[in-house]
Amino acid sequence: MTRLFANLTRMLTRMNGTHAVVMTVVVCLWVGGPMPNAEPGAEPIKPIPTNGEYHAEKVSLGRLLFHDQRLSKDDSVSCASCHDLASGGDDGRRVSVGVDDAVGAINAPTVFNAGFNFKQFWDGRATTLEDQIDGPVQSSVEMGSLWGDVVAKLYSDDTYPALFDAIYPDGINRANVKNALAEFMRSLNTPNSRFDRWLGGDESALNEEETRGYRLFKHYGCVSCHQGAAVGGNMFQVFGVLNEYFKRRGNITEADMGRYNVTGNESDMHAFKVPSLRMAAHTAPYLHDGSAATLRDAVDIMFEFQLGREAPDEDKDAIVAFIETLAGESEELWQ
Amino acid sequence: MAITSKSILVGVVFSVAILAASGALYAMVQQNDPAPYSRSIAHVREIQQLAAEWSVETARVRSDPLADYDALVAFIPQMDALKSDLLDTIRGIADIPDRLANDVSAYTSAIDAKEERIERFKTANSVVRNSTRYLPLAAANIVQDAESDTDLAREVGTTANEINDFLAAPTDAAKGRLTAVVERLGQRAERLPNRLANALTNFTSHARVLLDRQGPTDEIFEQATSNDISNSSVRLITDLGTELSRVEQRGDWFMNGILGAAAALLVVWIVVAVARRPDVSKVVHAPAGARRGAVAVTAAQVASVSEREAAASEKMLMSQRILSETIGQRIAAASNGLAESADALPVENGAADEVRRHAQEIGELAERLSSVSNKHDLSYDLLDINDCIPEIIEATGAEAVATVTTESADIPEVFASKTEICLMLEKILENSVQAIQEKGFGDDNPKGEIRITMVGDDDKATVTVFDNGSGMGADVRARMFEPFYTSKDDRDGVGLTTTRHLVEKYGGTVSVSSHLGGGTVTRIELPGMVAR
Repeated sequence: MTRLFANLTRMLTRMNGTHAVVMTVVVCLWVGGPMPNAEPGAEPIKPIPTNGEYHAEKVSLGRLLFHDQRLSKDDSVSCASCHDLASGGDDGRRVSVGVDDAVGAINAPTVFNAGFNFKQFWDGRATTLEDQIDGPVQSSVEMGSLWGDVVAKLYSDDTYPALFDAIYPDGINRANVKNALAEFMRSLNTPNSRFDRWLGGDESALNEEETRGYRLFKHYGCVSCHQGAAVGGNMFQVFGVLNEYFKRRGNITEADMGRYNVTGNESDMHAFKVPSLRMAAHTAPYLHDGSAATLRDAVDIMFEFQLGREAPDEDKDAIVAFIETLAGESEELWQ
Repeated sequence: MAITSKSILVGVVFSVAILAASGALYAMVQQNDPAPYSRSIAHVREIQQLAAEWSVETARVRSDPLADYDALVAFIPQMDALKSDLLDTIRGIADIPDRLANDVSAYTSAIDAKEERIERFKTANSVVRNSTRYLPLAAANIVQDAESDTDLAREVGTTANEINDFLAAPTDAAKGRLTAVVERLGQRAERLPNRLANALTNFTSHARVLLDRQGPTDEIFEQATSNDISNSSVRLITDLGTELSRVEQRGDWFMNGILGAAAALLVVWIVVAVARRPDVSKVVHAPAGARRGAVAVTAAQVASVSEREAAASEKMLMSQRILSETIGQRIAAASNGLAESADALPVENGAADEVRRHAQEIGELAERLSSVSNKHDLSYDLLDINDCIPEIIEATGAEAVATVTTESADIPEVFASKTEICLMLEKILENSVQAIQEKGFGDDNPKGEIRITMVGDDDKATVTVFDNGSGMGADVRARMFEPFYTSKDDRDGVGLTTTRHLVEKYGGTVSVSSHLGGGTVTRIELPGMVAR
């Protein structure tokens, strides 16, 4: 902001009297208004907490379930099929492929840091991770299962009954399967990223290009929506705020209507949960329709349709460099 | 034996009926639990508090352009948890009035609505604050790039200022005018060089965002942070509080009913005990002598003892009958009171009818008790009250503790049962003897004194009993006619109750004047039936 002031002042000195008066008023009213907080504690992005506490037995049971193909109707697909932990928590496809080679309608988001999302799914139709699990397990284009079949298959297993009994008094049932899976997912967060270390005061954690990228991320207004600990995941936003994305792209599907499918409110048409950017470095392709092949493509689209602004390539590249510093560490990652 | 079995059977039947009634009342007490109402009120208070904090955080986010929404979002699970706690508690109340259940569901809908408004506010606010930050930069870019086009620079600068004014005080007129201005500015982009055209398009699109969305965002902010949850919390707390006190009151009534039933049970068994007592006039009372440990008694002694035992038995019987009758009347009064209280109960859940039904049952039982105890087979005759005096002095052993003097003048005869009149006076004398013993007259003290005077005129006989015993304090005086009330450990507390009951039966009055340490004067006035 100080630099902005200096620029404007320099600019105004080159202008004639009328200009100077008008612009001084503009500058005083607008820039002199509420200033972004300069203290480090007030950054709009917070570090991923490192003190998360999880039920260890539920987490390890959840891990088994997460990789278990018996959750799908023909034992062909597990959660990990589309949320591959080793490659960042998604499948690298534009849209996912489920049982019977069925093609999904929307890009699979990463499962890492999903516990920070205030709602689950792109359209936010589930509030908790537990509720969310019903979606993929029962969807005909994902796992296509009936819960009764899943529970029966788990019962016939050699190890599950004892594992469940050790944790849950009522043994294997739908609610407990969901709870164990959800607890595992809650444990899938990625603290200690380079950016978080920089936020914590380690100035060497980011290079000059990356810190410039963060400044620009705030300057251009990306941070209006991608903010908080997950750098996203805490609000809905209409895709195409300043320019109409869907008119340009065409071929509008049901999934493109986003949150409107949940609420039926016209104002929610094409609104989606703002995705977390924490694992963006590893989860191409991007956007709900998987239409952006690279992070830079996604940044271009955001500038055009969400920010309604032009920016030089070097600024966009710096922003991409910054986003890549957001990915943290997890024991499940790269295994 | 036949009498004994029959009276026990009657007692058991009465008891079963009373126990059934109190069992039903007890079940209603159990159902009538005020705790869920208190818990609901606590939940609503927590929700009210959390909603207020939620509004404060919403306002903070609005005023700080770089604030993140994490804290705002963290309210959602907290609020959802409180909401489901409240709903669970309310659902746990079996007989919740429909109106209150509807209020609660309207209340939770209002919370949902608040959550949705905050959601919409977040979305709108992000866009608006982004454009708010960007618009002056966009204006500055144009001014920078449009050095040769001073008209454009001036117009953009002026428009930016006017939009700022509009945001401070939005009016429909200003909105319409500025929208047209921004539209015209946008059209100029076509004739401008590329770089400047882009800058102008950026400016106009963000200006449009502000003109179109600032108002609705303000509006949704006002809605999201309005006091509606606070107000409806207060209303709901009031409603729940009203219902809570009603439930508590209802609980008190039920408990009164149970206490009444317990008293009725007691009376039933007193009556049974009375009925079981052998008829002394027909039974030879040989064991009476044996009880005293006498090895050999003469026939005369047996006869004499039997006579005294018979007299004592009859009096005891009468005392107990009178007591049953008195308590029977009190229960009847209590059940009437209970039935009246039932009128204040809410009609919708049937509690009132239940209470009324039980009250009626208790009332009927009390009536039957009274009618049982009323079966005195007493002989009524013209009576000179003087005839009682030697008898009661002997019965109470008054002369052992006090000098007893009797004065009598022109007292009319009364038409009465001698047993009852003597009993009435005996109880007074008993109290006097007790009071004198309590005061402790002995060798060092002058002897106790009891003075019985009987005076009369044409239509009234007045008997006054004076003693110089320990007297009664105000606390004892206030309660001395209550059944079972006694200030002495070894007494049954039915003496003066019996006296008053009998006096009233004959249409008379009894008054007691006493103070602690200063003796007691008891005065009985009975209407004279026939002048002497």
